[in-house]
Amino acid sequence: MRFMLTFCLLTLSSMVQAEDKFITIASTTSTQNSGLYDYLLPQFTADTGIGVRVVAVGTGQAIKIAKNGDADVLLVHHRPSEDAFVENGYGIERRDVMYNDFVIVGPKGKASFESLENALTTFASTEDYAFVSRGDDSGTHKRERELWATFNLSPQGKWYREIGAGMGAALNMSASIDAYTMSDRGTWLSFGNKGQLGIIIQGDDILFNPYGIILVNPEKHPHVKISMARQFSDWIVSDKAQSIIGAFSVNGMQLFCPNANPEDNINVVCPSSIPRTD
Amino acid sequence: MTQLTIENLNYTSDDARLLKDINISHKNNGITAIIGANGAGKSLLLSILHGLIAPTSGRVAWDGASATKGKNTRGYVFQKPIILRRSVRDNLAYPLKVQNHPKTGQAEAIDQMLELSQLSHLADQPAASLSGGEAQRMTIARALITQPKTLLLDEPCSNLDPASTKLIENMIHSFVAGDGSVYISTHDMAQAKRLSNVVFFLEAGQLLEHKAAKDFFAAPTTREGRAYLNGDL
Amino acid sequence: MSILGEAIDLVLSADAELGGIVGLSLRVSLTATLIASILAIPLGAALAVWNFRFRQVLIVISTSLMALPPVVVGLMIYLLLSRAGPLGSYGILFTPMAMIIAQSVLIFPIVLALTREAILPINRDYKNLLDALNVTPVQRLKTLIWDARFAIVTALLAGFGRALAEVGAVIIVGGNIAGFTRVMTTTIALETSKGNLQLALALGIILLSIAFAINILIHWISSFGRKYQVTR
Repeated sequence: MRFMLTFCLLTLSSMVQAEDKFITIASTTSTQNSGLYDYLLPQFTADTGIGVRVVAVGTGQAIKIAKNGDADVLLVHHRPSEDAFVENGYGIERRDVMYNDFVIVGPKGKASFESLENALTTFASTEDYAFVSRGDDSGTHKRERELWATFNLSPQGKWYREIGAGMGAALNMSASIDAYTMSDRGTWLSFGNKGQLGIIIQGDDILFNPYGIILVNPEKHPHVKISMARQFSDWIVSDKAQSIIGAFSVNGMQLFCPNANPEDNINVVCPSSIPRTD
Repeated sequence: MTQLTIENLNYTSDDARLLKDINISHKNNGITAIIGANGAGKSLLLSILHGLIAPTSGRVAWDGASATKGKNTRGYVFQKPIILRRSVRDNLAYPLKVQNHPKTGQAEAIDQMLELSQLSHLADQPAASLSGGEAQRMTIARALITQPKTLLLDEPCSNLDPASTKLIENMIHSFVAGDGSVYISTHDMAQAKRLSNVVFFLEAGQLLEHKAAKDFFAAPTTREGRAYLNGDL
Repeated sequence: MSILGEAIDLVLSADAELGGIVGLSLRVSLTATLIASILAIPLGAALAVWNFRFRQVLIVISTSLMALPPVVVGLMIYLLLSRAGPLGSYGILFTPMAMIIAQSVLIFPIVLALTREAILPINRDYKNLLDALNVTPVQRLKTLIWDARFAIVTALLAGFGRALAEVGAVIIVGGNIAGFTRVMTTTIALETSKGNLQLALALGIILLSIAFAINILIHWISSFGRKYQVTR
């Protein structure tokens, strides 16, 4: 019995202390799954001695975590939600960090579409093509809903499957049932189980996918580590970090385009497949 | 020598009066047999004597103290052996442990009891592996290990063969030889005759006879007592 | 079956990161099991022995808790530990501590119910003897727990197994933070979502091996316990 208690206390204490100089970032699965954080964050920790704990969830949930004050920094990709977050006083100092784009992926060689509008209209009118929707209130899901609305389409029916899961699950399902889905390019490129899937539509301006960083407002949540959070925000828009982001690639493909300082020439060439709307 | 006092003892369960107006004042250093037919109330009386069951009315006292007190000064053996899921040795050690006996001398006391109960060769076996007779010897040894003044035995030899019964009776005799007093309920008349010097004869919840064993067996005063001895009850 | 082959290669070439993940899994689940058992074993024994007030209520609550999906437990603990919640000021959301708390809550009703079940028949056997020996309530519980120890250890292993295999609660309260709160099950979820089925399967194999070892242990312990059981 005494042994058990001692063991418990030791284990608990070893877990509590761990590291005390750290910040918590609420972010999206798309950045996490691409492997960007594993590549980028160790360099921040090396520069500043500050550890970074990333909680990667959908944009909707990430914003809720930040609203509750359970994170110090928010890094997500849905501009309207981000602006609302700041307007409502939950966040401060929003900055652009980087962007990539969304792509429509689907079974290669099944059908070809001349444009995004043509593809979506065909899906909705013929109902012959299965489309997997995230259905999880994530940034990608919100953007996908906006796409349909842009073309005055309201997808519903057996062909339109809202799975309420992450990007990976949506891709896994699409691969196994030969369905179409919308993915951010980063997750798509680093996804390991593509099967028969390939990019069907890309390059439309409307598929632009920018990421922004926001500090959680210390007036709302006095306990947030505002100075370390600001240090992180300053660092990620620095030329050094922006170059690292631009240099990050998976299988030889660049995943994100840094755009914190568009006027600076930081020597990053973004692939032409990623559209720029400056 | 312990004084047992029972005053106006009644026990009622579901409107059945299982014990009726029992009064006993008794001092005995030998063996008292509680006898009677099945259902006469022998086991119930024994349970009440140890304070395991509270009487509906009346009072039971040992040396003036209520039966619910001083359980440590008495040992109690159940008809069906209650076996702790431990080795024989640990079964014997258990009462010493829970009644906070001094640690020194425990091992010797246990060895002594193992010898008395002729279980030394089984000391480290799981008690569950014992035969019926061995198990009952173990529970008697477990009751005796705290050196009680009084030993209460509830039909300890029912379902046992004569050889096992003999071993148990030897244990009882050796306890009495050490100045202990014994109360044993039994429906085995021959055993009661062999062992006891005093008899409580119960019939239908009433104490009909309370006298020296030799007198009871020679000439019971009640009709029921005669019927019982004739094997008619 | 090439995925399986690659997965086995990954297990065999386990690197430090994988080791850390497995280690954290074991540490969190073991601690949670110990915490849950310190509370649940005595209470389970008490529920088996005494008919006190709220006994039925406690039994009903604990049985219902057993049916709760881990996600709901995770959500409850999340709301409790969030900065916006009542225990927010401790700042333990997204830490291993939060995971331990969630798993303790998950394990508690299992250990409670199994302990109670293990002790009920022993209490039935022992009750008269313990009454006759006039043992104190604490001694009574200690005796029953000790003599039910094989069944109780089995209960603990069952709880440990559930904790180790659980993903829904720890991913919510731990946040699956790399190198900090990432355990085997959350890694499996993450790697599956990344389409890295080999790595996910490799971790699944490790988890399966541990579950297998636990079950062998359970089997072995119960066979040991049977020796002391009265069958008469």
